[in-house]
Amino acid sequence: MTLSLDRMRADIAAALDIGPDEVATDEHLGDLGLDSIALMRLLMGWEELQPTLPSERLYECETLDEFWAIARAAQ
Amino acid sequence: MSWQPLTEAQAGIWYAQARDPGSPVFMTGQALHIHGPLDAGAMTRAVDRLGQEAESLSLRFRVGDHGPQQRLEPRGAPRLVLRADVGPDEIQAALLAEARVPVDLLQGPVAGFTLWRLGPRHHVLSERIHHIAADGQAMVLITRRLAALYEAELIGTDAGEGPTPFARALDEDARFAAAPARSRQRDFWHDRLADLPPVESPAVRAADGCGRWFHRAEAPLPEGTGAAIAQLAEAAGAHWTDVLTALTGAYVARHLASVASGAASDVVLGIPLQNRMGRVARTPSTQVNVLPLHLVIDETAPLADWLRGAAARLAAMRRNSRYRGEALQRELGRIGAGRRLWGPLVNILPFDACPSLFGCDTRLQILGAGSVDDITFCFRGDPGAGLLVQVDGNDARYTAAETAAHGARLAQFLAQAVTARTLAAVPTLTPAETEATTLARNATTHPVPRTTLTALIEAQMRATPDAPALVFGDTRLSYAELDTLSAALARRLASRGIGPGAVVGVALPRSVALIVALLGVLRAGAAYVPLDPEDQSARRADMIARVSPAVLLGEDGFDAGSVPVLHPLAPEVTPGRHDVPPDDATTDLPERCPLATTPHPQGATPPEATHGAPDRTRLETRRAPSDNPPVALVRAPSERTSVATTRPQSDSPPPEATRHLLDSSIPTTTPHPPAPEDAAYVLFTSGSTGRPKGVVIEHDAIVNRLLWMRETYGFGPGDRILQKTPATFDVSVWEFFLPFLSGATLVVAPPGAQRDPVALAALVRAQGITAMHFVPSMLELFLQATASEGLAIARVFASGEALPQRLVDRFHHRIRGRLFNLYGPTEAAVDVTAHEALPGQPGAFVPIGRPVWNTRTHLHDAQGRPVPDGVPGRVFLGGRQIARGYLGRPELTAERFLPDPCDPGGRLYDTGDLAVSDGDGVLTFVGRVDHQVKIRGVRIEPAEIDRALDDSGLVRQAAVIVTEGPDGGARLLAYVVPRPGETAASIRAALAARLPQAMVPSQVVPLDALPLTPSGKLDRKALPAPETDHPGGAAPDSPTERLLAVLYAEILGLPAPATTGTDFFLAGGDSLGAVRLCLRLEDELGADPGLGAVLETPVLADLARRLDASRPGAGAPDLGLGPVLQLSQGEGAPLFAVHPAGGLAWCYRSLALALPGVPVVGLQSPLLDPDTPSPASLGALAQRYMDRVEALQPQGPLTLLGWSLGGIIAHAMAAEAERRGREVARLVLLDAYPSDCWRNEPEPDDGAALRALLAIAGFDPEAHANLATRAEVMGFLRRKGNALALLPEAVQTGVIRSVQATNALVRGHQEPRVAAPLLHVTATRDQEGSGRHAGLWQAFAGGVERLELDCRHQDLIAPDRVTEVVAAMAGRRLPSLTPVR
Repeated sequence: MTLSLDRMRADIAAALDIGPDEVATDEHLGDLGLDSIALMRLLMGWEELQPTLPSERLYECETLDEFWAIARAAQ
Repeated sequence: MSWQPLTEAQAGIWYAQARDPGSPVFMTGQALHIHGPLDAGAMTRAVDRLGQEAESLSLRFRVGDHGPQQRLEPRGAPRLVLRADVGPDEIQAALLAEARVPVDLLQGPVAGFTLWRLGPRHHVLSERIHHIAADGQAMVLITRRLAALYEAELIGTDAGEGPTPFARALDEDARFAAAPARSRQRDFWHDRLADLPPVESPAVRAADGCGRWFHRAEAPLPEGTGAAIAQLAEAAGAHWTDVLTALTGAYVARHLASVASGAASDVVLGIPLQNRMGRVARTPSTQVNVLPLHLVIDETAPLADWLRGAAARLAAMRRNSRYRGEALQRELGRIGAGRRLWGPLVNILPFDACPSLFGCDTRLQILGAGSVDDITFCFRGDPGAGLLVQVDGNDARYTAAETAAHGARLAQFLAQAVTARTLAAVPTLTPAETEATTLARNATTHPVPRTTLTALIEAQMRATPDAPALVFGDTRLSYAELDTLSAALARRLASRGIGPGAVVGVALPRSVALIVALLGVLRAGAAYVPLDPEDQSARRADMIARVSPAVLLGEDGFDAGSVPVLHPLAPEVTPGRHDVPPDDATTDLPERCPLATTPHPQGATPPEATHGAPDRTRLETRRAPSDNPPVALVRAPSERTSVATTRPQSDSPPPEATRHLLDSSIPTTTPHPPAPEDAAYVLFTSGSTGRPKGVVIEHDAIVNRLLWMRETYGFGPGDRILQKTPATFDVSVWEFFLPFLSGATLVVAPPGAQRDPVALAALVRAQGITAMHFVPSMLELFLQATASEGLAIARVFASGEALPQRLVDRFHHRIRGRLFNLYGPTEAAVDVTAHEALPGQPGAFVPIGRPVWNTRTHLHDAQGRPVPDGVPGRVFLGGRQIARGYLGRPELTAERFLPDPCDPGGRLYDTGDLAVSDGDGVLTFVGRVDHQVKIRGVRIEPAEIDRALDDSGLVRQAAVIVTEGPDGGARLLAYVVPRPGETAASIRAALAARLPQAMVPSQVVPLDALPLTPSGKLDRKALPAPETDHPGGAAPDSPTERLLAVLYAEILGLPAPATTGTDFFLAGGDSLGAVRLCLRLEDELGADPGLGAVLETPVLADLARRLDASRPGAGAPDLGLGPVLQLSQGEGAPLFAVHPAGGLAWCYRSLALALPGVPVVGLQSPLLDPDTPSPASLGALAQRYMDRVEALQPQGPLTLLGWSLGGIIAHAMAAEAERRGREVARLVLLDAYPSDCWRNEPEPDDGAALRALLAIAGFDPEAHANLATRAEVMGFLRRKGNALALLPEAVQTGVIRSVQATNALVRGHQEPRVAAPLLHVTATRDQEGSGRHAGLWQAFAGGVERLELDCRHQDLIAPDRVTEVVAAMAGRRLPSLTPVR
């Protein structure tokens, strides 16, 4: 299994205890409640799925679209 | 980067720092302890590179027109400082000292890096960055980057990507400001915080100041706690950080007075949200945002459920984490003391922030993490690796010991909570604390014999038969005489079948008969119940009916219903019958007993024992057992609330009595002595509601109390103890009997004397009283009486009300002797705690102290758990003095007397009082559970207002009470006995000047005297209702209030001057407005009160009071008219600025502001004082000024400056200085010209002087040519809120006088030549074509440096231009204005 947009969306939704459909790909993830502690936890799982993921760069992203763009580029 | 506004986050910190500019508390600091081969050169280069990359290290700030601004200063980052002068033993102190150095945000740098060499392989790298440039995450970022750069410098690796530029922080701030998310989040917060309760602090003391540092304590959470937290988080479906936050909230709540008392269940925490997601993730900057978390504690809900709710609130908070907390503070008016938006901070930092340095071992030490307003609970680590709690307590609010206690207590609390089903099951205290508070502090065990009052008194009577026992008026009784009389009565009672288990009513005024009656009852083995002989009410009849006394000892004619009435010193009489003539009686008295001289006729009646009246006795003895048998009070042995003991014989009359019933001859029955567990007395307490309750006290209880007192205070023969308390109050119990346990003398005050301070003082003096009691209200009256001055009373005991410290101070001022504060309810044998009241102690009230012998005090919260020190708890009492219960009220007894969990079979009495313990177990009474007062959310202690009334000196007596106001809320009323000439209005004004607005009573009601109850306490029910109601917020009165009223209106844009009740922030002010207010106040008053003053006391009247108090001569505002006006502080030699024509040097205020670090001293004219004669010449004036200058700067080169005519005087002073051999290094003349220029000009007339006044006030006179008269000018200035208009009229006259006189002096002056170099600044717009120019000074100075500015004369000192002037001058080589060192 590899990292996918849907997987990322599902993980974020689970971390924030909201439904996946509430995670719009262009919404500021901070305003959905994601903070750096929660992101750190997500990254641990994502790095296992995709060891090539440049995790550090994800901290500077604001939206799921941006997450996915980085992840896809590194696949 | 040009000057930019601050981000919202930065602005919050900037304003907070501005409250206390010298405070280092906003420095974030850490130290990296490094062991291994460190290359200092590589580290130096790495810090240099870091300074280039981490731009916020180069920030500089300034105050712009619209608030603070910042820019990046080229090469403005700090370089590494190398130190090798500190050894390993001193490094901690050195690090702390360094961490506590504040930075000047205007000067910079905002950061510092030091490498401490402790040994060849041991270094410490300390990093300090102001919070305005970096938050905790930024510090981590910077430190990691530094480690990467060090490695790169050391071994040439690639350091990787550096931090992102500071501009990102500005861009993101601007982006959010314009984003729809911002208003969405704003709405969320306003909705959520609409009903936020007042925020309480767990601190014991309110902060007097901000506190500049903090105490730190660290405690690891017990092993296994982490795993349990993880489990609990799982169960609650929450993240472990949220669980930790919520549980810490529950912990904090345990320390809030309102929660501990059960009045509320709210806690408001501050949660720092990191806000690092997105563009600024790697931008060194401050992003962290503190927001309030309001939790409602539910002690009984399943813990996981409650945590789920708390986690949901935290999640919602995170979705709205970008809206700034500072903005909410502003918008909700939650700024300043008593109106905070959040309480303690809870910060969870799971990241390991310790970087590794190439080839070295490192350990990180956090020195400071920003500011600590109150207390911060910080968690480091994670559940897997272990958790550490770090507690930082603001050192103005917490001691080091309190901070440490929080560390240990919180760790323990969390360890317990994570496995508890509900919060209710979690103790607040650690086992050690529980041990200390419930056991160690109650280790009062002391051997007290199991005996009775009766036995002790009889022993004393036998031991010292000839010693004086009793004094009443002219009557003196020895112990033997008292023995005879009381024994006789005892026998009489016994002969009527009265013995242990029986109750005898005593309704007598203070008299010998009363003492005999009490002793007789006790010696008969019975318990006495005192009744007020004056009280004719149904209440008394009710009491008699409930007690059903066997007999009643009273005066003739006393109506006791069906109960037989006896006179203690007379033969028995039937109710309503009294046929023994008193005259006959005296014949049978013992020879030495001078009862005939007693002031009360009833005392003259003879004792029964010596008087035969067989027929009546027979009648009585027949009646007694049939109609009112003592057994009427005897209940089943198991029922504790009967008077009878559990001894079987008490169910029936004692054998002697039985025998006597059969034998109707002379009653000489031997009484049956009581046992320690028999009742000694029954006292009725009124209580706050319902019927009076009869408290049954056993001998064993009162013996403990009396022997404790005898030994503790050293009572013995020779003591003379005053009896003045009515027998119906329990204080009388020790007054009555302590003397007879000590071989001392009881001096009985005449009836009524207890209310008359003059009579009491006379009695004390005449009788040589060595011990007496006062209720504080009565002590107050006593100390006010002239007659009490200089009395000597070895021991005075106070109880019954909270004892104010001011009263103690006054006591010690007037009276030689010791004062003790005692506390205890009637239900625990008079008193259970004691404390010596010494003068000059802190706190408004004297503590009630520690428990007496064999007595335990417990402070419990509403759930029955022991409270921590400093938190008010409900007082429970246990031990030997606890009453048997309420007579005939088993339900009530069961309700208030509870099983003592610490003492099997023992009971705890619930007092309903609230007290707080200090760290040493000393208790202070804080109120009644049912009398808590909050007014507009502020907890009010009415006694504090009492004290302010007292301090005002305007009242003789005062009482402050809380009633329900017209709006249903609580309101304060002050009842006062004014001193002559004072009115309700003057007293209220005095209060308003001393108290925060919320504490000023809504009404002051003058009375001729305060009503007191018979026991000497304030009789609250007898206070009249006030007639009318006046709302708070009066028109401003004092000059300072008037000034503030105008300034508030000016800055807040109010339609009319503010009232004294106006709150700056509630009326729309914000931090920037507060800064403007400070600047304006500085303009007007000559001193910046500090932003802190406005933030902490935003209410107009409060601020006015604070301003007045902070200036010399509190109460009489410093109007800034003295001969020397210190305009600014600084190092080095001062700059002396000489006043212009008007005589005031206020005009140099802006100049002083523009020269930070230079102390600027204004010289003002003596002519302002109307009583000072005019000097003969300008030279004479200059001499006088030089005297002042020399006093302030005795040596070194001088700097003199003058604007306008002040320049001429400054020049004359330079001449005088040189004559005295002083060097004038700099003489600066601002648009001043030699006196020749003026000699032929007309002297200013009154009109011109008035126009000068306008100019002094900062207005262009020509623009206001219509203002012709003084009244018009003053009216104009007053409307403008100008300080000049607020000056006393005499001073206004002085200003006009100064204008005219100084002009006259100038016209008679001839400049000498001085050696000093002169810098001249010309305001070209006004001087062009006037013929006046700098060159005119050439002949009078050792060189003239000229500077021309395109401005007007007035502009040279104008706030908005003076910076330019200074900048222009600073470019000049000759007289630079930097201070002379």
